[in-house]
Amino acid sequence: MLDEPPVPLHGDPDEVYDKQDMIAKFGLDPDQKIADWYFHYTNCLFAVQESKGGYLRDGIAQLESTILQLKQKGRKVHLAVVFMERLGREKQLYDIDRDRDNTLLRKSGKEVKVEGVGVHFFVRNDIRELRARGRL
Amino acid sequence: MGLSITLERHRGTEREFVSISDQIRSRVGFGIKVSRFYEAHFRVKRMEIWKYATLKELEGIPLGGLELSENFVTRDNEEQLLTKLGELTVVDLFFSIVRLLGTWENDGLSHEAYVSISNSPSWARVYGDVEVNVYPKGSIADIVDIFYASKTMKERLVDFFLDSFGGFDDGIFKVKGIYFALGVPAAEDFDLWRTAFMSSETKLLEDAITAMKATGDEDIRRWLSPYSVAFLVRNLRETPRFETTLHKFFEENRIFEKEIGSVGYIGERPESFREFFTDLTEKVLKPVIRSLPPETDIASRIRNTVERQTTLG
Repeated sequence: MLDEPPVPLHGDPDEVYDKQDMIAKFGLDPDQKIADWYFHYTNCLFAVQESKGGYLRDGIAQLESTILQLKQKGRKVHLAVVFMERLGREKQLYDIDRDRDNTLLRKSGKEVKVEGVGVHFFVRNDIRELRARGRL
Repeated sequence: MGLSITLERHRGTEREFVSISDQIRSRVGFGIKVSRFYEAHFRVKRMEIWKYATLKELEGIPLGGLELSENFVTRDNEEQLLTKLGELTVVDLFFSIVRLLGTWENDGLSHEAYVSISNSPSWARVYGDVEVNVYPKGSIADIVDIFYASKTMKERLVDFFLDSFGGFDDGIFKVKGIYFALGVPAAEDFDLWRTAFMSSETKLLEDAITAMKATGDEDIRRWLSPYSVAFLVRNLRETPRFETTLHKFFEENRIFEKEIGSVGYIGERPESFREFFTDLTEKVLKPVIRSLPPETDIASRIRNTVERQTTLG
């Protein structure tokens, strides 16, 4: 498991909820898959993030379950984030569109959407580079 | 990564041609055997068949499913699944992925778990032919965390598994590799292995060089580009001092070899493979690679030889 805080894609978030908060405050089912973070950026966007040590595919499954549950509880979700150390062999299946905030694409070029929400993929270097450029 | 198993087609003399449906029956049968091995912990609730991928978000197409009532795959369930697969078109069958979904029960804790059987070639290249894992929950990020929680668990869930499946060969497929590893998959992630079973020491070295190419410096990748992995491994293995060094690295990093038809490498410590990989790459592979003629030298020799070849007219 990666202990990575929410990616500051639109600056640092001003509200952050972890798994326990999502269960306690929003009533998510602890027996279902739950992603690591649900958070709010100051530009009013809500995001869900999974910091994944294993497969991206399994991270997507966790995002799917979390976003579905949050929406059922009336919570807003505008974007999804996956953070990994590296993509490994799964790079055969996915592309990253670096010109669009690291949007995750299938090799077919189609954007990966989870419950209608676009997914953004980051590794540690991306965050360092973006910070260095002052993007974030 | 969890547990990932790769199979290879049997190249024996008895059966040269095997139909796609027989190959899929064999692979699915193998995956079900794996799920039965873990039936004391893995409670199967449902079986699903997908095409291309196992999530709609990833362009996967659901092709059917079966609910199970016994917490494991009975002979009847297996036949029902094979019948459903048999009703698919050849294209659907070729790109199919079978998922056994349920929970992994251990010490009063329950984790969502799966056994995934990849017939789809692109999916199998990435995830292996058969994989077993849990979704992260609490302090458990990967099924390997459960397998290695205690010496007894490791013995029952890892060592006995290797004993039971290392020699698998049903005349259609045989086991090529078994990997217990944390993190993202692949030979590229050699440093995350906990236990690996493979056909030979040669395969272990090939994986180490592949990992070095994938994760190493651009400099090393460029230097390696004219040489095949097989060429490097063959020449290393023909060097007696290399064999001695390799076994010294195993010993120093607490990696034990276990003969089970092929060879199992069992890391005693979580960091055994990572430290072995560092020793092997930094002390042997990189110095060897940097001593080879670089691509530019080889290219200029090719050009010069052709230019000087007077018989070409």
